[in-house]
Amino acid sequence: MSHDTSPRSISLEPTARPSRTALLAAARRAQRLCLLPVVAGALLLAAPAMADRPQGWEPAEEVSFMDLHMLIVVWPLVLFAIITLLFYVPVLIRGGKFTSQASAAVEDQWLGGPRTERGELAEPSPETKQTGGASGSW
Amino acid sequence: MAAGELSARDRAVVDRAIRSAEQACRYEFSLFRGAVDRDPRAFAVSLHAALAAPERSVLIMVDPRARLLEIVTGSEVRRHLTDVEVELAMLAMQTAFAEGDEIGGLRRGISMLAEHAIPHETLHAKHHGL
Repeated sequence: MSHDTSPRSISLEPTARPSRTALLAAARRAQRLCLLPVVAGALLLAAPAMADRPQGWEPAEEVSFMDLHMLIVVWPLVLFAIITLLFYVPVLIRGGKFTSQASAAVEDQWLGGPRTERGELAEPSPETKQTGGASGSW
Repeated sequence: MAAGELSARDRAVVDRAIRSAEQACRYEFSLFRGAVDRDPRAFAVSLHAALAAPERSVLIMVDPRARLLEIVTGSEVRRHLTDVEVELAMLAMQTAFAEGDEIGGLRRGISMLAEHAIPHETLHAKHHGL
């Protein structure tokens, strides 16, 4: 069994198969050509929406700028305010606070100590007042 | 440094550090982690007074939200663990806390406090009269 160890020859001549770039360019061209009929078709299909008012229908009432303003701006804002109040008022009534996760209240944790609650803490006796140590912050 | 509660894993790490510190120096170590709503030193001293044996105890109080750290040593512990040595341990803890490594800082601080609190045996040299 013999193996062909000679290096493969690279031909620079154009081959019969179209390159990938040429295929992509052709696809883009086809896309561009299709765009116009698609847009035209969509407009034609939508044309009935711009048709005249049917004869049986009453003429539409004129909407004033104020009414439009109320409908588009004011009422959504009022709705937003109501929803916000519905969310925050019960929390505020319960005495809750709105804080971010980083500044969330720290639960008391004892490690290697008694399970004494804050309210149960007694005043230090004179003997225990002879304490040492240090204070600091970071 | 997260202000929330310590996770079970973190608690286990600190618990181990406390246990080995207590074994090393035979003093009690306690950590209180919570919000301080009054004078930090007075609060830490009252926490220390609430311990079972305050004279033989070291209390570390951390308020991660207010970034406060207090270390209280009992009267008996003070004989071996000076305030300067406590400050050294506190400095190490502050450095770690500032880097956001609360558990590492606690471990290191507790270990340093225990090392300094180990009672030094007094060597009574026998006088052999010549």
